[in-house]
Amino acid sequence: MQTTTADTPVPATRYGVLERLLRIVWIGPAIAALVIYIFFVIVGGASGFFSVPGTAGWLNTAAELGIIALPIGLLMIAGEFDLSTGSVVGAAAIIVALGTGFYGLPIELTMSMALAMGVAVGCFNAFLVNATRLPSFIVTLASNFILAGTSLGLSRLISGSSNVSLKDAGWAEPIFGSKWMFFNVSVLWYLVAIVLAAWVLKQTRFGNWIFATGGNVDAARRAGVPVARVKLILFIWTAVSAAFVGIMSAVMYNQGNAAQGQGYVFQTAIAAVIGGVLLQGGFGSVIGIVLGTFIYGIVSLGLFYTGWPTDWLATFIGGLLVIAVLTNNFVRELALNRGKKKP
Amino acid sequence: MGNAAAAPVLEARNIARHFGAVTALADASLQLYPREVVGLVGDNGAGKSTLLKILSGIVAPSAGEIVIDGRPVVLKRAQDAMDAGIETVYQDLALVDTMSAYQNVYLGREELSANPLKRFFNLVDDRRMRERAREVLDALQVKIPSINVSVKGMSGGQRQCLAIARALLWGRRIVILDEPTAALGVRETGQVLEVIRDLRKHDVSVIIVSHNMQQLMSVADRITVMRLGRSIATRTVKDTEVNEIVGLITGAIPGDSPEARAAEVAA
Ligand SMILES: Nc1ncnc2c1ncn2[C@@H]1O[C@H](COP(=O)(O)OP(=O)(O)OP(=O)(O)O)[C@@H](O)[C@H]1O
Ligand SMILES: [Mg+2]
Repeated sequence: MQTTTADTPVPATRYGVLERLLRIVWIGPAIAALVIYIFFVIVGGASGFFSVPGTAGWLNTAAELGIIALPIGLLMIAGEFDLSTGSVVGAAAIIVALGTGFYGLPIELTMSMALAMGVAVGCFNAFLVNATRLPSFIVTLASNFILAGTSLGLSRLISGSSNVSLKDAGWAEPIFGSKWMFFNVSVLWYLVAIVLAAWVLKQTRFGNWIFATGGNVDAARRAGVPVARVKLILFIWTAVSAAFVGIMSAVMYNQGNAAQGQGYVFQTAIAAVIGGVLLQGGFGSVIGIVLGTFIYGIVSLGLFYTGWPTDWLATFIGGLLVIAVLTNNFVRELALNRGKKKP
Repeated sequence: MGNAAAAPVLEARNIARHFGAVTALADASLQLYPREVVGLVGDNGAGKSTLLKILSGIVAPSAGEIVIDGRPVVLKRAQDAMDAGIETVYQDLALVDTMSAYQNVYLGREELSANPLKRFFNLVDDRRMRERAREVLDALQVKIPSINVSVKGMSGGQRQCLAIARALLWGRRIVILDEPTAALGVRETGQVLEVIRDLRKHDVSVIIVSHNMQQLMSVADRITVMRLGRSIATRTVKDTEVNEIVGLITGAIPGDSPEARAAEVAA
């Protein structure tokens, strides 16, 4: 092997099929999803994992998770975290339940309030991150706690309970609460979110800026990318998506709970990482994130169908996370080092 | 070939800059004519980088004037310099490793699709950006394996050339390079110098700092020598030789201006 001579014209290297497959950004999560799916079809198929209700079960889970995980993933590609989504889900649910269920306000008003709360939280997070340059990990962790306490306190103060029922959500009922066979309408909403995220990330200027912001902030800034605005929009997107899921769950389950939603805080980040998003930013794909949410849904529902104690779910997910991070690192190096000749 | 008859595209007049008690620049002047490559030389700490930073809007001058196309300008931010047509290729190159070559070239200025409907949805025209990037890289004879591949795996020379190509593509008329070949091997240096020479053909003027005299003599039209924060002499490459420049740098040969001589006596 000789040393790299960079300025000789390099003919486009021909890659074998296997090598080319390995260079697809989301190949890791795709293989993982397939393997895990087949595993649970074999082990849990007899008890109905492969049936329509079984499929609907994991898809429903993936959908509610994914609507938040998508913008979380984009935010991570831009190099930031958002741990405040859990409280935003709870706060949105309790706003709708209290407003419409308790006070009898029109559903469109309380929904707008919940979404506005999402915008406010997103702005707050982005403002703190942009202005103080503190790590978003800490900033959003703080806002998660602040908001969680506030929702719980206000809910108790107003209704005497952290759990408020919402009997009739009017026109919002079919939009957020309907089912087809066993599939929740949230699956459709997820589809909309996927198309939106894929379009933004792959096709628009803004998508390019997301990658640049996470890949090298200084370079992005010098090239004229409005880095602060990129982060602001992504923080708002994340929080509004979380509010949307909160509204949806309040309407679907006819109740809002101020303490609900905390599971999303880590589940969304896990789904994004399993989906191949680079924790340090600059790398990831929408298809990968979607596959990450599928994997999460398949594992959490699949375990249930195996008849094994579901107590072990977290262990399973944790193990998966480690494997995912390791394989993703490997795949990513391959994808990024295309064109580089081995020294 | 500098076009001495034309007016300078860029002129720095009697620039000074103090950092607290430190005088980084005492009195530096520089002229850059259309399609000209000016080399800026001087010992360590002579103030070269500081002058370049002032010209790229990163550092504000304490005194002096910058004139572009005959009009005095104030460069408060990097963006002001870019708007004035000055592109600086930074030492750390300011490329995003995880993005492809053409994306880096277009970063921050992605072209939108020509189709009005697609434009409405903010869609970028990837194909056009690829084509244009390839055109520019070909025009500069920059050789990279593929414009679609992340720049992470590329060599220092290739990265440097990409950064220069960006300046060209963005229609900058003045490119500033601070020691662009400092970290490069011999062949890579050759490639970068070739690209710099070629910039003339594209109506671009270049200011380049380098400690390598041989290299500068091969690429520059004129050389401005700095000593202790002052520009003490400017020579046309055709009419000088390495020894003279080195003498000017070290002080073995006195500078041209009376102030420069005065400063030397004082020092
Ligand atoms: N931000 C700063 N604060 C204080 N002093 C500075 C600063 N920037 C430059 N200087 C000083 O100004 C002088 C000129 O520095 P400058 O970097 O312009 O030199 P240079 O000619 O580029 O040197 P080199 O060839 O080593 O790159 C030096 O004495 C340096 O220490
Ligand atoms: Mg310097």
